Amino acid sequence: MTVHVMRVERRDEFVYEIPQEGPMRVPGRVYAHPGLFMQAGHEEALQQVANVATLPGILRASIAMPDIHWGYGFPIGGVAAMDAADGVVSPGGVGFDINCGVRLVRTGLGVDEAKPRLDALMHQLMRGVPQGTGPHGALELRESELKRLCEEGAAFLVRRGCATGDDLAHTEEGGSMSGADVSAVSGKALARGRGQVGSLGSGNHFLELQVVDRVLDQRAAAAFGVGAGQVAVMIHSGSRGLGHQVCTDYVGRMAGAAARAGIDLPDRQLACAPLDSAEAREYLAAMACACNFAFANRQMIMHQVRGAFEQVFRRSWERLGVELVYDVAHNIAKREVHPVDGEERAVLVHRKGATRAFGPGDPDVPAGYREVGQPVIIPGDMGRESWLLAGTETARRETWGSTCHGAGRLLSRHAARKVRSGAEVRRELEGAGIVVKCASTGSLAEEAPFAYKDVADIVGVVDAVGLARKVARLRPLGVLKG
Amino acid sequence: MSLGFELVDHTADIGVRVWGPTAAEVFEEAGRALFSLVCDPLREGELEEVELELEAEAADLLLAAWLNELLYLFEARQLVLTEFEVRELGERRLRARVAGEPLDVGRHIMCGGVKAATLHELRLEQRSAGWEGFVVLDV
Repeated sequence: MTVHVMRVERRDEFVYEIPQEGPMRVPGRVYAHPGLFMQAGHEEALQQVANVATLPGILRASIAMPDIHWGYGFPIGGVAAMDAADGVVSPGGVGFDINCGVRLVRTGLGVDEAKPRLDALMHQLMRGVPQGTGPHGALELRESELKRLCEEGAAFLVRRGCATGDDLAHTEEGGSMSGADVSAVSGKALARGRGQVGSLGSGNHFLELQVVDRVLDQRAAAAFGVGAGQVAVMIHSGSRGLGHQVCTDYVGRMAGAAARAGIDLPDRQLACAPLDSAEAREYLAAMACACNFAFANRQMIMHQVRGAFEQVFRRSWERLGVELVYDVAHNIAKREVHPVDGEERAVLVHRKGATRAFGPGDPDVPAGYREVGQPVIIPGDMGRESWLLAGTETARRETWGSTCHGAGRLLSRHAARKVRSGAEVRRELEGAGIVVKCASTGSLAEEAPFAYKDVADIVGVVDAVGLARKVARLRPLGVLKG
Repeated sequence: MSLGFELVDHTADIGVRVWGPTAAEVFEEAGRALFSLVCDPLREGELEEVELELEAEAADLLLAAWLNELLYLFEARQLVLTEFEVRELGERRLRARVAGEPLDVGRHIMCGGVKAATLHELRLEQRSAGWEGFVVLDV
């Protein structure tokens, strides 16, 4: 089956629609900044929005966020909700890095206190938080322990003294996805993940030391414990090899299952299975394990961060106020209840490069944040800025409680390497006063600021259309790259 | 047709185009292309060998399964693979021997890493002078 995007209609200042045509079951809807809309790869990305619209059970629209870019199967920045009764789950709609996500950690330190120790702190963070590919996470586990971690998530680390109840309360799903059944995870996936708990990984994953440089919503910032001049740490990582293998295993199985269920796919990476099939049930059980692995991974990295602060500042992390603001997933599929045509309906929401953004009053938002909405963490590129936002009721109504996830790629990795070398990028960042530590200087060029859209434009769009509200801006002080 | 590969731009990922006189050689070259993105070998010491047998529902799906198996050997068995020998290749089944250096985290230089071979735009085709494959890798 092929789908041809014939036209794109502008519906509003920042909203575009791909009309429903041919095998599309619903229209496509793209939230975009006009200036960002026509950039490289946009035709392929729009084609992918239309392809997702053909999946069985998709409700309302195939949605894309302003950080949309060309992915495989789903576009990155894609959101699709399937009817829980007759819809499908697509592992490609979650991606290989299951529960890739972001965690924002605040500290009680002001930037003036931290600056003189910046080099020492970045050095200590580099020693404590493994980067790059390969098996060398901060936590050694036996296979039976890894299996428990997959079913329990970050909660597994409480008994080991690497997590607190407060940390869990400030993690999406409490750091533990329900429905996790490790018998659905292959031995290969367990073998790949075993040595990797507490490691950043490679690619666009990073740890940044940041300073809150602007607060736009004082009330929400106060609820999140964040104020101007405060030092924070942002952690971007996922489920490492375990998640990659879970996705690989189930895309392989579902490529055949989709054909057997009579589902004609425009792209085999959209391989999917009806939600009432064994393949779907097992995938969701395995995906939940990978999500739990990722929550535990970011928790373990934060534990290492706390240790680094203790080493450098010679005070306990509690006294230094190294506390979790929030941890959000941006590659995930979740069973949620949303209003559809005036009725509450059970759906499966795929968020592929999109963040949950529940608004004020939502019971899934931690008690302390419930009046202002769920914190949404949007990393930018390593030279410019990142954002802390808050979820909204509008997102709940329009986008299944979802918003953007980052800056979005502009240049391919190869194209970025042609613009400047890793060494030049390092010099530029250091010239701007940013301390850079990385496993491979080459990857610095691939992840350079110019390879990404300006996150300010992305955040500007979601704020303008009400899919999240700006709370605070953060600027990088130090970057640790995978 | 000569043997070789090229990396093709893809916004967030990397496409790999591989060509060779036979389908088996395309598979072997795809293995070399993959490891050019994973880790540089030291080219010293003893190699560890692994025998592989894989099945898939179509020849191109077998190509993706092969690359995913090689990634698994790198991450789980910690082998930086340098030798790829496809001994038997059918439409749905492959038998191969691969060999590589045990990973030394302190000395091997990682090249960024690959998460998986995807099925997006995946193809394996016979051309007039040989075979060509195309795989998008999630990096």
